[in-house]
Amino acid sequence: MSTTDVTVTSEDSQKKTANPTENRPFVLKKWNALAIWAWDVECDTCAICRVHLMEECLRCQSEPNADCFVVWGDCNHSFHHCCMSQWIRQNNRCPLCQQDWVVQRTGK
Amino acid sequence: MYSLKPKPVDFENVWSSLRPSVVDIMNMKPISSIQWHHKFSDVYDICVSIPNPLSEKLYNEVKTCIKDHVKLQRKIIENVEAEQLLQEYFRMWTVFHEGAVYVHQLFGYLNKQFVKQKRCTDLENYQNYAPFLQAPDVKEIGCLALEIWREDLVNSIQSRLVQLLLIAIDEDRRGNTPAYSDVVAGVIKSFVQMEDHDFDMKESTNKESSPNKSKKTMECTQFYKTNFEASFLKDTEMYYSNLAQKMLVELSCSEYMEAVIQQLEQEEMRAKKYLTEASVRKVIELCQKVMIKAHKEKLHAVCHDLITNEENKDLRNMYRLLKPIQAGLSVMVKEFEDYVKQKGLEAISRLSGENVPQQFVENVLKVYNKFNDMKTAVFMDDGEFSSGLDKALQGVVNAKEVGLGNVAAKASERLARYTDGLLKKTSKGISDTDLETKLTSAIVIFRYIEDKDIFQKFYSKMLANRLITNTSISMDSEENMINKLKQACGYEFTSKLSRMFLDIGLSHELSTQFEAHLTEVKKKDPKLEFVSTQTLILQAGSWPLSAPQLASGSNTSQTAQELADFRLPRVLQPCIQEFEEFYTSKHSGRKLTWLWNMSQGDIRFSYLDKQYVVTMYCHQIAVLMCFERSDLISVKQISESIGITGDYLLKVLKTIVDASILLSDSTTISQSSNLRLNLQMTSRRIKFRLQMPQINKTVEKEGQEAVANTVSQDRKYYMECAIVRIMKTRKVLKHNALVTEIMDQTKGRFMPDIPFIKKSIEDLIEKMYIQRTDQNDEYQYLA
Repeated sequence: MSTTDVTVTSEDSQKKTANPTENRPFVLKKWNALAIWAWDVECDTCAICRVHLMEECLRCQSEPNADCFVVWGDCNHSFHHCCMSQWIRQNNRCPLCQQDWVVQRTGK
Repeated sequence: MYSLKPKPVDFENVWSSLRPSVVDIMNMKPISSIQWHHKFSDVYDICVSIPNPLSEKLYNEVKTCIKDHVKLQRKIIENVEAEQLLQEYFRMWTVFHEGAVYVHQLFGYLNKQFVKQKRCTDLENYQNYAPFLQAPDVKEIGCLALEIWREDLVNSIQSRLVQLLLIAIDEDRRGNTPAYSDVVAGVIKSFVQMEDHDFDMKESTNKESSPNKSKKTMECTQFYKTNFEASFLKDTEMYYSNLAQKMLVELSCSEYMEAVIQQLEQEEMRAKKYLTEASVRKVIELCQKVMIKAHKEKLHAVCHDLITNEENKDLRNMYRLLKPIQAGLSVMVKEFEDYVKQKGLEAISRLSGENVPQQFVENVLKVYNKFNDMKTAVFMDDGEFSSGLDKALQGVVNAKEVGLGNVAAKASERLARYTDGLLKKTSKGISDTDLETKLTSAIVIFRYIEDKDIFQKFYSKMLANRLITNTSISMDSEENMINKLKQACGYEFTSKLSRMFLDIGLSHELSTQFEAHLTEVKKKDPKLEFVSTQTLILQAGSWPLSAPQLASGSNTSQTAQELADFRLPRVLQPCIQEFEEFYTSKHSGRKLTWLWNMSQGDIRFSYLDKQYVVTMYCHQIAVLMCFERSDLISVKQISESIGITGDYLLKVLKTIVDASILLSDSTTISQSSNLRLNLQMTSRRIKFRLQMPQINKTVEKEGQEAVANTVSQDRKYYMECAIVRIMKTRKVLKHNALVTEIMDQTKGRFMPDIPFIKKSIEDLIEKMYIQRTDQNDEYQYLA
């Protein structure tokens, strides 16, 4: 590194690069961030199979299936997609609020 | 030549010329081919003679003729002295037996036409009564001859013969193999051949010893069995039990075992030489009975000493001797098991110093390897010893430490730490093959662990740490180890571990894509600045981590409050915002929770004599950023500007002051302290990292408690699931049967104790999953 002596005052340094961040006494070089993702749901358990939505639904746990995601209805209730597609064969209403089931979005 | 046409026959005349020939053949005197054909056709003529066939008359005459012949023979043999009896009998038998075969053939037509027909009609007429009828009295000529020989000759000298045979074999046992041993074998064999009725099947010339014959003879050996084998076995039993008594007095146990093995080998060879195949097994079993089984207590008595002195040669002998005895090995197996356990416990009793986990694993492995080799070399990998070894090591690995009361065994944690040590990047290089061997042997110990769920908890914590801090030795080795665990314990056991591993791969991909995305954004707006970012996005639930506000426990929830208003340093905001947008465009329906307390950045200090680069956590960065504009700030001001309060703030500050980046005006930092940037800071290293705040002595202990807590929750859940599964399939079950099945289902994870099982059953009854029936100790599933 070059032998620049930068004082604490915001005096400009004699650095070759005119990078504005270099003016500061603390320069962030690299950043390792850590986050946890979860489905954006009101209730984190699937009301149909009683399994946590972050885990595969009951069916998929016994016969592994890569596509076990979450589905939201217009009512903002959420279930495992697999559970819901079984459910609407018999009853096209949300099992929690009895509104007609309209898919609002699916998770991916 | 010969006419096949039936014609009248003068029986007396033809027979008187036929009879001498029969006697000649019986004596195996040479006979010309023409003469043979004449005689053969004479037999035919008699059998088809008109007006009436004279078959029956011929049959009776032949019978009388053979009887007369045998009577003569008997007179000769009865006068033979004892020394020559066996030889003389064998010589006569050989001739007679061969002769009988020829005579049988000479009367081939009689056999076919008369004997068969007679038997068939008899059988047809009385078919329904066949089981009550005696076998027809008419026999084929060959059999007739042998029967006459047996009845008229052998019966009278049989006891003398048998006695001579037994004496001969007895001599053989004592080391004086008789010169005429083939005669002995031949005589014994004659007892079998006498009852061999299958004449047509074999060639007349090489009837002596065709290999498939011995199999046939096993079927009908009544004479052999009653008249010879029985007394032979009685003799054998007597001989060997006397021998065993004598040897036990004279020899040490070790010598005795060798002697017995030798005796058994010799006796087997002897039996094969003299006796039928079926008898060999009987003789050996008898010998084992009188020499081993009868004295097995004596062997068992020395077993303990042999094992503790590891007298492998004697042990191998003992194994060979006791193996064929029913339940003979159990004492030995028990001694072996106890000894292995004792050695194992010794090996792990005095562990101390830095690397207890490594010492523990290596010492257990040493014991395992040693006794596994012993099991192979000495006990022929016998199943009983394998399970003894397993039981012993299970006892060692899961042993609760003495004096500490009912503390859970430490093995799970130690093994997890050991594998952590192996899989962590270190300065000491380890070759791939070495690592592979060590990981494989860790699995050996893993299989013995009872509380596999506790191991899983520790392992996942340590794996998470390796993955997040990027300190794994290599991703391949991590995956390799996860696969090994999966093999040992199943998919479910490792699914979260695999998920963690997968998350890291996905995150790297995502970071690369994000990097490319940033380049695009910058092209559009060159003024924007983004710091180089690596982001790990972890799936909730799979990782043993959580943001402070989600965690349980009094200590952390206080911290959560102190952190609630945390403001992200300005420098980090653009890239976090950009990332969140980027992430939402890639995925839908997901929300991200940032773990600031675990996020780290590299900060370069440009105000000192050297360009130090310090790795620090997000909260520490936030504090330092306050000193961008000012050298001296009060704790209160810091708190206001970054939004962190209370003890946690002080802990964060302490980590920075400890590294002498900041100076405090009081020895212990308090809310009223003032902090100054240390412009003279020096460090031996140009790159270093700040400690994580909150690290104090209790953390480790808390970690263990937390593990114990989650484990007991998980167990409860696992147990209830198991009970419901079992009851759902069985519907109704007795208490004891239920407990057995529960044990079976849970032993892959942990060993439940009975009170815990009972408690879980009670809870499920309360929750109305099951109910008691009116029977005692019985439960019923409620749908």
